[in-house]
Amino acid sequence: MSDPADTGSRPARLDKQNAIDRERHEVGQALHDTVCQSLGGIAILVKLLARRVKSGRTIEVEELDELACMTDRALGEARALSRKLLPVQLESAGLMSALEELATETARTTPCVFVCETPVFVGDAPTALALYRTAEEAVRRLLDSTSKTAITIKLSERDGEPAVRVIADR
Amino acid sequence: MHIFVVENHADTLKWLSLYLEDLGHTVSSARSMHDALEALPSAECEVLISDIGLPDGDGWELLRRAELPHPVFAIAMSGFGMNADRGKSKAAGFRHHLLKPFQPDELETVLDEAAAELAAS
Repeated sequence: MSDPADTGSRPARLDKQNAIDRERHEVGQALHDTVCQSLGGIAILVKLLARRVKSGRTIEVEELDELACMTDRALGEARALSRKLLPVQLESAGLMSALEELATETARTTPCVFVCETPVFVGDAPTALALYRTAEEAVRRLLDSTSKTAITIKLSERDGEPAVRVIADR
Repeated sequence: MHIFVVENHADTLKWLSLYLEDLGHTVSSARSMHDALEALPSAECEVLISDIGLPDGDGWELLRRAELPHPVFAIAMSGFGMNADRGKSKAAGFRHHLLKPFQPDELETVLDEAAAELAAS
């Protein structure tokens, strides 16, 4: 019996590896552009305030408010990245909400809707994640193509199994 | 010292400038490569601190293209700290490559080096 990891054609494996590499690059870039920048600003502000306190000077309430605001922003950025890395939560309704969020995120640049006529609950987290990644890759490919006008992400159940379709409305 | 900071992230630029002023330095700044290239020829700065990732270019290109009236002690800031990134900074003329988010103490140490060098020259 062959190892499942060895199955699939070479082009398919390369496609998958390219998708993984692209995803890693995007996460790295997003970390650099958001969380790292915000944490850098926070580190400097904290040091500045500490210097003032140590030398007996006062610090303004507004500066502390700004520190809280910057920390909240960094937390939000970290959460957004965390959702990107682990989009499907472990509860059984997680795939529906993750696909809905994917549609909302996609709709920022291209019309996109999520359709799920009957609730589909996926109890198996790896299956849910695999379905999500398939949909995500399909959306990405459509976004890269020039002929799409709108995208529909459809979640349904066929023969008791969850199925995801990503359709381009041209 | 007169320090010119190039940083597109508004919070970082604001607090870094205030921090450097608190240390006793004079600070000028720009938020893009274009603005920095315009301001640097007449800025009379002794130290340049530049982010590597800028919206309209990068810190390496900035340092290569800047028409500086005299040599400056250049410090790069970047979220990327691979050997290749550090090598590019060195090749472009940056004396140090600070990895973001860096501790302000790291910057102070580098600025002490710049001050000592300026005093000796």
